[in-house]
Amino acid sequence: MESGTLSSSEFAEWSKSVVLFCHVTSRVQSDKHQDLLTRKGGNGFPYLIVMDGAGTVLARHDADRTIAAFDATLKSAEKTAKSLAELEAKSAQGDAAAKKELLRTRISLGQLNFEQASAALKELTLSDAEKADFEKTLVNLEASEILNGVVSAETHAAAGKRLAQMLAAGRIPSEEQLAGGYWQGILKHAEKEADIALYERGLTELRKMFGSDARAKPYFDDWEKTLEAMRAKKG
Amino acid sequence: MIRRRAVAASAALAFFLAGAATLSAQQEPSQEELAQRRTKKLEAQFLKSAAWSTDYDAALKLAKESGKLVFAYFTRSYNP
Repeated sequence: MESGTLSSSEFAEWSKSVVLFCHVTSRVQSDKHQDLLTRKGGNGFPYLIVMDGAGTVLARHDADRTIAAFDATLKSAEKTAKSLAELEAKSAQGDAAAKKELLRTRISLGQLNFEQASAALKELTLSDAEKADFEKTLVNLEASEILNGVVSAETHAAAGKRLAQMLAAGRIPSEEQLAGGYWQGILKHAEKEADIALYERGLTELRKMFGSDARAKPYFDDWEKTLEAMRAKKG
Repeated sequence: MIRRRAVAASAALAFFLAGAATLSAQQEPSQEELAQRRTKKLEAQFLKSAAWSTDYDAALKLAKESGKLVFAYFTRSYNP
């Protein structure tokens, strides 16, 4: 994308209608806003969004990386800005349905972190079905935040422990992009704790998702070796 | 719909592989090495092809002043 669409003269022309901002996650400790990706709801690279001047996320770009698709995302962001303003006005007047829709929209746009979303949810009166629906979203949000905090072996160990706690509580992310990282974290934790049953469970889940893809084979080979070593050590 | 599912599956695998690489890393590069990688990234040609800002606060200020929305691209320099 960087050497293609983003470097084209057509993109340079289109971009005159927006403010272009590029954020580089560097892991350099002195760099400002290193957690910006997470704060804006991202959980991987590249990540493209449209924000307003207050930094509020109005649209995520999940489509093709073409100028036409960028433009469609921009138009969607403009509509969302209008819709959010209407929902905020209705919510302020006590409209219960608008409050729920506003929370759903804010979570989906990455405007709230897990703690903020959990707190906002407590303020709403929900049916069992609505609670279950929001809970599913919160599980994805929690897993995303834990995984985005992994920057070193130490933070990985801590994340693995938290993910294992989530699993013990039956909290498994439904988003495919998160589930891979989630189960890898579980593997690391299971290895550290010499928990063979947990390791096997993690490996089984990863196989279901990626086992048939040749590109993932080297990783599965490594994990199989680790599992064998764990079994041998236990005797 | 089929294309969207294919894109989602591909993205999931890419994320999985990136995560596997990250999580299997035993040693984080030094701060000096990370700073060098960041500097190299900021010299990328695409950043010179349009009016990109890499300063978050300045980009928001400009958006407020101009009434335009911010088109934000998140990338990384710590890994290739």
